Amino acid sequence: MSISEVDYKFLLEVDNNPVVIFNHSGSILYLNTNAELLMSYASIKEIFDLSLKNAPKEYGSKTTQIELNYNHLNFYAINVSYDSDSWIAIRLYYRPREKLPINSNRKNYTMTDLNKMLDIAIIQFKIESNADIRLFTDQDIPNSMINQNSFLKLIRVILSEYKSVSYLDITLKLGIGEHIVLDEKRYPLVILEFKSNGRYCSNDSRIKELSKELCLVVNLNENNIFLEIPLIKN
Amino acid sequence: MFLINHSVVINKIYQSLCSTMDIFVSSVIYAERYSGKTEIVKKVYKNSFWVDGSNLQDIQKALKEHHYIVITNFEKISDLDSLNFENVNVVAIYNSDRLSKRVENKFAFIYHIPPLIQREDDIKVLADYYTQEAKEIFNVEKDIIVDSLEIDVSKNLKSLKSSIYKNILLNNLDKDDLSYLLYHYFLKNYDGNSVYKEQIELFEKVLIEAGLELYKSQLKLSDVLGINRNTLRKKINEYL
Repeated sequence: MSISEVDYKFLLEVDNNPVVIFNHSGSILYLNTNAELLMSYASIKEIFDLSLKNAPKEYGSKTTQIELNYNHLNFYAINVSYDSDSWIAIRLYYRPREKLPINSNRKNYTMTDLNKMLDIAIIQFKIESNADIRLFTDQDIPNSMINQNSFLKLIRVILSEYKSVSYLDITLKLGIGEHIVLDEKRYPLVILEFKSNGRYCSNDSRIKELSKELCLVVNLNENNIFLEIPLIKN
Repeated sequence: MFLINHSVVINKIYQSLCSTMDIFVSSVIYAERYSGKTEIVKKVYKNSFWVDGSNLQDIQKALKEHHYIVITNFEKISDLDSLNFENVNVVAIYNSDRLSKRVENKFAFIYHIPPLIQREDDIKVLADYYTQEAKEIFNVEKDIIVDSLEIDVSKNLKSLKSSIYKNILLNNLDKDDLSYLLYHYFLKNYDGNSVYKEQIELFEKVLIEAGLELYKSQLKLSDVLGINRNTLRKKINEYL
């Protein structure tokens, strides 16, 4: 076979990192599957401006190390390429996730309504906090196997980071098109987001430790905390 | 029950505990003694298995055999790491106003009841409540407001209740009650060879103290008492 028979577009399509190609006016010419996910958290203009700002001065390709966070998606570098004035492409490199521990032993896991867990944790949090809490949840999120005690402990520690804020937005939603690999199995995931205009960071290491015990992915940003929770049915 | 209905902080903790009743969760309530924590737990966990923190083996057995467990005097637990709180609903009562990080890390939910001295609103409603209760018990009909300076909250609810009862009781003694009290006091203290001199001070001293408070002047007080002012001055020097 010759190289001309290789489907280069397929390689872009299955790339684990988002790839977006813009025309000269900033309209999208192409985006791969992972970029579709990115574009649900970032605007087209935002990514186009990022491309222009980090483009090489001459035709070619330039990789820049840069910390980027779009919701719970974290990137550590980007590559911007172009060889004509009519298009420009950007690839964003995901920060590698910490490997989750193997946790086949789920004897303390119970089928749980995550919305209910959140409600209970908020009632407890409100005893000592006057923060205005806005809760955005999807009531159709299916129940999931989880260790209730450890999960509530984690949520309590996370909420304690926001005990002095004036408002706190909490969002619980299904991660559409996203999954988490646990014990070599792919699980759909639920994203739990805590967002305010500030937070304490004193318990960050404890949050990481508890998340790891529960096999959850946690992203700790300046003001926000994201949890990726695998939806385990059995 | 009264506290749950009338104290904001106690009611919030009660509501939160109620919300956790059908899940597996470990909670701890810490506060000084007599702050109201046992009252909340009794109300929520009345049908649960109660075990004392001083007996580790009993706790370990309870954690294996029961789903709903209350551990009292949790501060007495010797080996924290030996306790497994998975797949149970456990609440611990911890008698201290401080909680170590180690204990805190053991629990999903932490509840703190501040000492009564920091809960001004609670002091007011509790004082009103116990004043009414004491009035009924001592059959007092007149309106009474206990001076806030007379309310002792050093031992939280226990000292508050006791100081109010004492206040109501003492402020409603009549001459016969005082005679009765003195009679029984003297029965127990009739010893030695100078009883008259020693015991007369009991009412002479306070009689002069109260008089000075009322009249502010030794001259006026000697007139009211009907004694010579030199005699009064001598007694003031002797007692005060």
